[in-house]
Amino acid sequence: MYWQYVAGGYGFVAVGLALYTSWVLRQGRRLSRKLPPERRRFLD
Amino acid sequence: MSTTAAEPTGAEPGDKPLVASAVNPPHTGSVATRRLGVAAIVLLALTLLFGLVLSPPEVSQRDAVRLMYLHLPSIAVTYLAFLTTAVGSALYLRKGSVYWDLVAGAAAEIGVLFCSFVLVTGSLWGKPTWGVYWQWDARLTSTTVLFVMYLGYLAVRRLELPPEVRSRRAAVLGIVSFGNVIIVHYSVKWWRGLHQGQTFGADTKMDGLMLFTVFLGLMSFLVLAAWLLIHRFRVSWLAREVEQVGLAQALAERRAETDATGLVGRSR
Repeated sequence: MYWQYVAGGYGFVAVGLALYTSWVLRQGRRLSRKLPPERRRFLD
Repeated sequence: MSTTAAEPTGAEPGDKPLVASAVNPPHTGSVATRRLGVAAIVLLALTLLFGLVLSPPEVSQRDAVRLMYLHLPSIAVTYLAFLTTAVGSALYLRKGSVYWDLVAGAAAEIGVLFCSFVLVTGSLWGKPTWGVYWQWDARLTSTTVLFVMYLGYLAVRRLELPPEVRSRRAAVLGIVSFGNVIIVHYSVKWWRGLHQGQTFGADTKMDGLMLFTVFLGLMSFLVLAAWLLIHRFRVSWLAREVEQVGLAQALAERRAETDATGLVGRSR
């Protein structure tokens, strides 16, 4: 009972997390490629 | 006369590497974030299993109670993210370290994301439980104001201003906005409304499996938010580095161009 609301809520959260996560990871890759390795200090 | 030659890559100018790099993998991941990411995936999978399958429906809310396994952890993460923004902002104003400014900005973005989850899951829960998706109750209204305030904070961070001025203004806003988190939290005590009182307290009565699922959801969202915060901070840091490298290269090119045309000698 009320599964349509449950599906809507879980769907919204899943899509929101997937979109934001993929955006962050893609931005990280795009920006990293522009820098020399020595300037990516967090990889040490 | 130009000292640089255009690279025939076909890529967009903004996407061309400023300096050749082929040693370190070009992404924001590390051993620690990979472990944290795996932990987040496992915890999220368990939350789905318990939230949608193993936990029982509630007597009056029926299956709508399953939305609480996302709603309650989301508000906890929202509070923590905005607290991180306030602390980061205060430390930036005190120490002037750009790292704290970036932490504050990254946390605010994550807070806004989870705050949107709070509003949507709460609204979807409200329809079958209260009979309406929305009402301008104190808790709902103050949460909406919180969401809009931090959207404003993120907008301030994108203003075309000198970086230090922008960071200082954002830091002040990041501290002031946290006052609304306190209003949101106590709104159910201060004003009578449709929203229930605090869920957890000394007299909490909840089925053991339901309580376990709430805490499982909380753990999974906390680990996920930490993972996102680290990656988002690194993206902000990389963007700043790219900007600095680009600026240094532009200055060097301009200097070389000026030297070649002899403008420096003539201007002096």
